[in-house]
Amino acid sequence: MRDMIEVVTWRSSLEEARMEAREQHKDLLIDLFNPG
Amino acid sequence: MGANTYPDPRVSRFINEHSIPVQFNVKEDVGAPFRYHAQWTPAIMWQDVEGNEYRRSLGSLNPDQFLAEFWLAYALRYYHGGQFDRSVELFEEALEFTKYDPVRHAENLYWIGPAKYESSNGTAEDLMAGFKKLQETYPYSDWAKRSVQLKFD
Repeated sequence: MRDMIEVVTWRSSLEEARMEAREQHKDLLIDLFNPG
Repeated sequence: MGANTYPDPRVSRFINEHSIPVQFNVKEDVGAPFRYHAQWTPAIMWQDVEGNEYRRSLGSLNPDQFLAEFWLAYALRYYHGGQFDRSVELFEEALEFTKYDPVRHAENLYWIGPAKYESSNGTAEDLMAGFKKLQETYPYSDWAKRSVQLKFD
């Protein structure tokens, strides 16, 4: 069986991400990108 | 980075394990560069849940550069949070990821000195030993110059 390929699950709401981070005792990684 | 760096399984695993990732497309969210004072992309920032930023990186990073950057951010978070013993462990672990990256390896070597010095059983000798290794390895680096400057301050 092939391993599942793990992808980054980007959030789009800062507030929801903050709540999630608080619950999971993690920090935030914020990425501003220009799709070109 | 979306095409090359983030799909790298080492990168995606590390991001998912250690952070909640948030992404803003600056073409759609034109206010984002102003909110974050970041007019160049990609702009990557590490923040705690209170919005305190403890590292940022501007410009594209390949997977190896990103991992080295993330490890330094991770270790510095503990150092600046006053959890020095944990930061020593993380700076030591980070060496595996920074060792082929002279810019970040020099920074990594620099911080091992202060982290050990501030740790439970740290001494001034720990600080100087860390700086000595940095000065021998990267004598012309900015971080080595900062370490030398210490004695003049």
